Amino acid sequence: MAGIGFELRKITNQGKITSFFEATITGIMIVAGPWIFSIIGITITQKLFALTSPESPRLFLGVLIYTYAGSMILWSGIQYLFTRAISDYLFHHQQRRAATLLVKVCIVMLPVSFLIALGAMLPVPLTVQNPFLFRLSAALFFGTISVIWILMMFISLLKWYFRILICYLLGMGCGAVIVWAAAPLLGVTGMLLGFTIGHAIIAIGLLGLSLHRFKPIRFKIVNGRMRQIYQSNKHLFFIGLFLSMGIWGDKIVYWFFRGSAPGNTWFYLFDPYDIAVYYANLFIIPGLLYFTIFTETEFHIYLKKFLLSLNGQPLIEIRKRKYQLKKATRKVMTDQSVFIGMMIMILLISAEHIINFLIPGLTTPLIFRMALCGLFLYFPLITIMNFMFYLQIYTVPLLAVILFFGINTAVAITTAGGFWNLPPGFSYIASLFVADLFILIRFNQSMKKLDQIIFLQ
Amino acid sequence: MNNRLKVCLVLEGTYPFIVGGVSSWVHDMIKGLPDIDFVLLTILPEDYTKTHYELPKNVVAMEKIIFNEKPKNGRKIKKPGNLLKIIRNFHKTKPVNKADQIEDVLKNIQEGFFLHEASVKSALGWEMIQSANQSKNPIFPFSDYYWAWKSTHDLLFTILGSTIPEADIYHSVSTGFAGILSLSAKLRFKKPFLLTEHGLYHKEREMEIRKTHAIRGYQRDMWINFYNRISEICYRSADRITSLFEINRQKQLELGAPADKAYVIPNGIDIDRFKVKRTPREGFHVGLVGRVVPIKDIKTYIAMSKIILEAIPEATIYCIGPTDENPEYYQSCVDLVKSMKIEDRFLFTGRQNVLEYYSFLDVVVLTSVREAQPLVILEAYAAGVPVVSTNVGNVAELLDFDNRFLAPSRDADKLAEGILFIRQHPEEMRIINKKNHLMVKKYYDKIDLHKKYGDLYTDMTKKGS
Repeated sequence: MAGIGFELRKITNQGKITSFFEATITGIMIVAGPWIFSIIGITITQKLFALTSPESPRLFLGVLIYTYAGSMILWSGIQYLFTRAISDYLFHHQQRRAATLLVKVCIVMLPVSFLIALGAMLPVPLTVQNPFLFRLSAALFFGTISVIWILMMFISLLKWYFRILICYLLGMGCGAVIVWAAAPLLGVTGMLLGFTIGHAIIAIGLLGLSLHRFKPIRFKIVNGRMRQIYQSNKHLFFIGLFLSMGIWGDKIVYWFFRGSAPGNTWFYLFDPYDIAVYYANLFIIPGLLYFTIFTETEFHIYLKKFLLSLNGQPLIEIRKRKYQLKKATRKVMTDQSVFIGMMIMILLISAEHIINFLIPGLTTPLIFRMALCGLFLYFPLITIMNFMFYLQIYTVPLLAVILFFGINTAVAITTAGGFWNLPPGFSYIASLFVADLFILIRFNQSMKKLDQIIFLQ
Repeated sequence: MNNRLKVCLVLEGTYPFIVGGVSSWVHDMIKGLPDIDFVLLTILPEDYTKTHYELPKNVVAMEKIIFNEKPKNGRKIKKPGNLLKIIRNFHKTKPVNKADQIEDVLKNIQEGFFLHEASVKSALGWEMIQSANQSKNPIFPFSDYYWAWKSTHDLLFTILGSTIPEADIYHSVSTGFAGILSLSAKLRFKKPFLLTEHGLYHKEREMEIRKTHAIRGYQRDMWINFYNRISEICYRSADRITSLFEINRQKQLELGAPADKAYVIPNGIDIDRFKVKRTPREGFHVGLVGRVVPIKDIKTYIAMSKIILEAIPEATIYCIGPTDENPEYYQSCVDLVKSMKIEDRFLFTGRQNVLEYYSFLDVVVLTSVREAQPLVILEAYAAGVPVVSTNVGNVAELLDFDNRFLAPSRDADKLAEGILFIRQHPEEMRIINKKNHLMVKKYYDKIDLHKKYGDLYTDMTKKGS
């Protein structure tokens, strides 16, 4: 990802207002493009559906949210391994092998996800039109989203941002047209079908773009490569898994403790918190952009200088570079925190207005503010985790995300269960606070003896 | 109850896996002391399985320590930090006092505990490495220093944590890692430590280090210093030290061996075995008895042969010894012989019964670049054959410092001169040969050698067979 950051930084360094906007738009596309298009797509889909059908879209939302949560939890470990494998291939200029791995993972992931989702949907009692088609669409949607997560990792290689944008517009557009056409006939089934087909088009388009750029070599589907990668990167797998479980832990708790499900299904949702989190996370984009363009690149620059000094420089020079790295890291983290902090502060102050504008009556200012605070505390964790990945230190991030998941879930159970009279989002904030503290302290310790750590690797 | 004395022979890269002078010496000694049990503890760079000697019956056990295998910690010690502090204090000690301090260190390193990780992963260990670098090599790349330090110390850590069989006495046949291991055994089991040196271990390592291109600059000094310190520690800590000749003994004393503990026990051979009936053959026969390996410098021998064959066309030159230890070197020697067009008069015989050759050889030549007290010279003298040799190790003393038969290393001309002198002065050589034979009989009989070591073992342990 530092590569993208440097590209964007080059653009901003041109100093012109136009280049600043170009970098911003490009950066948003890369770090949050799919997310934004999903939100736009969902909003348009819901609006279209409301115009064409009297049914409640709640089941559709349930499928969506459970799909995002389930696919993240199920596949995030694999995503981390995949990212690691791709990075290794790129380092060795083996782009075609990277493309081959992409195809293999998609070939495995799509049917596995489809079958898991179908298996989960089959026992669900549905009172929609054409329940079989609904189940099929839900399963296909799950598979498609799972594959899109992987494609997103790979997309960072491609600098065809305009073509990626076209892919998304095409997919969303087609999806919207199908919803418009199918909803009057099939109700919420048609809505889900249209949305699914739209995402399938996006996935096919992105895959096609990837393979057109880097043609895969001949391969066997099962040749033990992913197992090899897992065995040498077990920590990464579990980091991904526990991070996703941490992110969704409290939401899942609130679904089942305080939520309600459409019809007799088990798609429990707790709207006030879900909606607050969903819209609050829109504001992650500026932070992610800042991290990509400034934080990560700055760290990378000083880290590279430090690493080069280890091979061929006397100890005094190594110590100097280490000090510079520590100082630069402290500065970029402070700057990032200030930037995000100021943004969150503004959002906290204007929470009521935002809710009234975007989601009137669907959540409360308190819950929305809790979600925003959680967002602020999320950044130190992922920032330091990324830094530690660069240093190939995996044990500390793993412990941090385990803490995050454990505390978040445990406290959520106590608050959702009514033991403590605390609002939703409290467990998320508390767990992130503890995880941040832990990872910050350990990162500091690691930085002090970074030369020793690198030599021992 | 077994009252037999048990001697643990601690060997580095020799018996029974590698053929050579030291291995032969060890093998003969074990056979020559049938009333003593021997345990072999051999340190090897990799896991050799094939032994080149048939082990005598009184070898009751054999164990190996392999350098290239990184051992797993079989145990944890309660406070590795305390041990590292002791090591840090040891490193701060002046070199002259290190031998005294080493006992403190070795006593605290327990069997099954290996310091490879603790030495670099702990804060104290890392601080020690950095301090040493700052004090010794501050302007050079730290990575070079670190890897040199790790290479030297990893070998030591493997040794120090290894399991040592129990015995009544530990007899190391070199300083180096075998010596340190014997010292460790002495401290662990409170048993005596006898050190025997054929060559001087630290000098031999220094020669190898200076020849290699892989280690340069201050790293070379680091390695040389490392081996010197180990030898010094062994000399100061051993209960008795023996060497093959006085020059080496003096060098041991220079590096700190106590004079009252250092003795000369020269090599010995089976005189009767080598008293062969001489059956001279027509022509002139020159032989080198030894392995075809670079240390024997067969190429100088070949160059010398060319000179001899030009002067004495009817001469026949023999290279009598195994050719399979270094196939590449052997092939290069064969190519050299061919390029000099002497392949019809120069013969590689392979491993042979040397007695057969001693019966008709007119001269035995030794062209080694490094030797201690070569048995082949004693054998030739016992058989009545004169010797011309390079002046290495104890050779000069064996050749009575007679420069007619001594040559600097790699000096084919001087070697040829010596051989031609022998050819041209048969009467004088008869007198010299007889004198040499008597010298070997008087001072280099194997029976005396084995008796001396048997007495030494008994004296050091106060336990007879």
